[in-house]
Amino acid sequence: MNAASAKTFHRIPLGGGATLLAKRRSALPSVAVAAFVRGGTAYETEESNGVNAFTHRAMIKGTTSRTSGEIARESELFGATIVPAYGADFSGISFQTLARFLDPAFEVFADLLAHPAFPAAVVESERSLLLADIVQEEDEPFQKTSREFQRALFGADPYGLPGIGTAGSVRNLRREQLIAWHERFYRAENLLFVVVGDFDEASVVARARALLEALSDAHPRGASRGRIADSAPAPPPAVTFESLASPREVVLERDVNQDVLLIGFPGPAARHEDAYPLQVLSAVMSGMGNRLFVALRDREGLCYYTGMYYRPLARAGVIGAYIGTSPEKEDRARAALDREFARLLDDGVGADEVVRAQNALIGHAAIGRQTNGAEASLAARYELLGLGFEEADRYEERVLAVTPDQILGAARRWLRPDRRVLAVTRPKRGPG
Amino acid sequence: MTRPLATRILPNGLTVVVREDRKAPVVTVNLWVRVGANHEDDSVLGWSHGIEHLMFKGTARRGPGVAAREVRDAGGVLNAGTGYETTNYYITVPTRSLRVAFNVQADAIQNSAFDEAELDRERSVIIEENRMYRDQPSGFGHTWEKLMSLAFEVSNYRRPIGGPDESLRTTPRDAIVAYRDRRYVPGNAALVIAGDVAAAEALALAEAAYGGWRAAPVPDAALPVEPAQRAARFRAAPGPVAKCYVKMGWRAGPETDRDTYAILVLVRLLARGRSSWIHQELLEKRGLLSEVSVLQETGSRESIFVLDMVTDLDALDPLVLGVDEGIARFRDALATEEDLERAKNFMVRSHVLAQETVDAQAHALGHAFARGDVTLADRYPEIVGSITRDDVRRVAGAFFDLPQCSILVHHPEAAGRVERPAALVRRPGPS
Repeated sequence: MNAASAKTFHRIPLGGGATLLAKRRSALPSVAVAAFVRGGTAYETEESNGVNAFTHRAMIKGTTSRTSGEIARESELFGATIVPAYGADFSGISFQTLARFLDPAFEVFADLLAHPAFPAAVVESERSLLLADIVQEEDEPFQKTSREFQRALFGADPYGLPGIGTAGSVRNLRREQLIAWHERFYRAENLLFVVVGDFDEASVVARARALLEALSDAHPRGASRGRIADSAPAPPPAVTFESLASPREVVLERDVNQDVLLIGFPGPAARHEDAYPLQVLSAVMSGMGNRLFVALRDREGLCYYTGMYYRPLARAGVIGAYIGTSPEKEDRARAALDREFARLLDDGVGADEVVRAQNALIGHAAIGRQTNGAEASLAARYELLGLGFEEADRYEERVLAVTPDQILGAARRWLRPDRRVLAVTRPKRGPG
Repeated sequence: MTRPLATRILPNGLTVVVREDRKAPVVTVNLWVRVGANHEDDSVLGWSHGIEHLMFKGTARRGPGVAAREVRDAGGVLNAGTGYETTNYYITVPTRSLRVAFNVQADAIQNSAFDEAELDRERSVIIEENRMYRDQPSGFGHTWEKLMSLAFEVSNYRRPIGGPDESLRTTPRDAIVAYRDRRYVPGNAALVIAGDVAAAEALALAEAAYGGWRAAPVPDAALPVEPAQRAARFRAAPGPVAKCYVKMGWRAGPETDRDTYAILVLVRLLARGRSSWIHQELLEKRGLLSEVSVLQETGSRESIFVLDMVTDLDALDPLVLGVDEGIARFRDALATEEDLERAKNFMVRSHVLAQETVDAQAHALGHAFARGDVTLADRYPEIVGSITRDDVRRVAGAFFDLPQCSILVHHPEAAGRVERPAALVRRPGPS
């Protein structure tokens, strides 16, 4: 490892509740920068659905002093593509570039965060693009099935809402709502900056502080039509799993060559004690040479892809298994997936399987953390979840602590038949 | 910034390339073979890709699936990719598992059994993979295959990598094995190792793992090349889609030509990134499309560059006209100095960011080997830096005229018959 590189992040308070996580890695002259807020689709309602994505996509397309074209040309001249991220719990803006371009690229980035103008023409153009994306999803069987699966899984909870909104909600969103959304979430006490790579820490700290000042000048506390409270936005209420206790099936009929089938359950939140056992369980079930792959692909030739995942969110999680298979094989694939779940709930997992899954997870984490961008996202995620970036450094220890009993317990708690959700896209079936 | 390459050609003809990189405790071992769909004759269509699947279905020492499991148990990732010109097999592992990577891969490449029963089971897996692509309307899915069969009439690029289902169902084992044995010879391959290992150690491990791979004559690489195109080609493909997927493709020469780098600058200015002309003018200002990207397939004899766009059918005519207007800006006048600087800065930045992972480094080196010169991977910034505004104008004129274009439109069935875009009717080609 390079001597000039730091082993871990350094947490720097910026004032007003904002934080900067910094990690120096100087082997390459590149740098990744991100700003995140706690805020996302989970804070929306059916009516405002899509406002978070809309706001973030429009934020990078016009400030009080730069047009969309100027932002694009200037940032790309400095080797940066500034991209928005809009998730269920967290959102933000990030870029990567060469170390020598960090200062001028950061200047554009700061302008987008502090002074987005949401020009009316940009809002209308972005609305059309969002509506086009919503229609396009109808043409992408896996995305569409996943979307409907998530809807069915979470019922009326905002976790079930599609991130990009629906045609109905996006058509009705107003420019003022985007401005208000930005004001509500982009506040010092709700902001986290992350920088990884080859940079000068003092200079980045100074630039981030200047950005915060610009932000507070733009949105003075307590002012601005009295909409802004003096504290970070309250998180949405906890997911009430009891309301989800009934099995559901969603069938989408499309003229597809291959069925897409998802079976799953609502799962625990990222900070739940079952989170690591479920991650290890997913690794036992999926990946080449593991349970689903061997049973469904190697032995029966039912599919090209199949797997299981656990996606932890801030207030709940998603446990899912998926397969793409020919329409005439769907019944066999369903039966095989059900059989694997039943086997798991009856017999649990073997100690050797757990050791192998632990090795895989730990190795894959090292492979996945090579890029500055990945390192920044990972640290930000743990920090925003309230676990602290240190959780990334404890990952190996956490994974190794998981036992077969914990996995069986977690599986029985969460893979409950009364909460099972199935979503499938398939061609229309003939009578009989 | 990057350490020099260590290269060696083993006595059996295998090229070994090592990039020592100690940034992270991971290593990748990536074997590149010059075999792909373009090398197939009609008796083995789709089996370059099929062979890639069969390499993990068992050897004398390892049962079916054991190779993948061994790598995973060691914390590693194993996968492979088949293209028109190459197939590559990579295993990326934490440093401590480096020997597992060499052992598993060398065993699979040299000793795969291609057991008849395993082969039969795998046929349906490969067909499922093809079905998955057919349900993807953009990118390298359904419309890619249709565009390639339109843009190429003579060259083997006209055929899909996945092959026809019938060939996957019925090609006998003997034909598959004979094809493999002809193409999988050490003189036709390169082993690229990148990551946390000393070059000398990597070379020694490579020799131990692959030194016994039996030498054999390197197969002939002569393949038909597509003749010049004189008139625009158009095909409408109705399907069960809600949006309209448009691909516009232009063919060019070998990847190793300097022109290719000028084309990369041109397509960046035209359609890559939010500052590109199509993005700013056609997408943001005129609202003629909702998505644009550039796909490319660059080979040692010929190449193609494809604009991949999502739109609605009523915008098709102005969209095609608009794309040609954008190209004309770079064909009829010089790009500005700032345009050129922006494109180059971004390309060099992407090259540097690709050095962050061992996989991307090995991929660039293996790809360059397959195109005939492994040093091209490291010379990328220097060659891009040498491209001038005149170069960009020249390639826009030489390769990107409308008569040289092939257009594929995948549209909703309900639209009925879709006619050639007006721009093509006006300028079909030389009379």
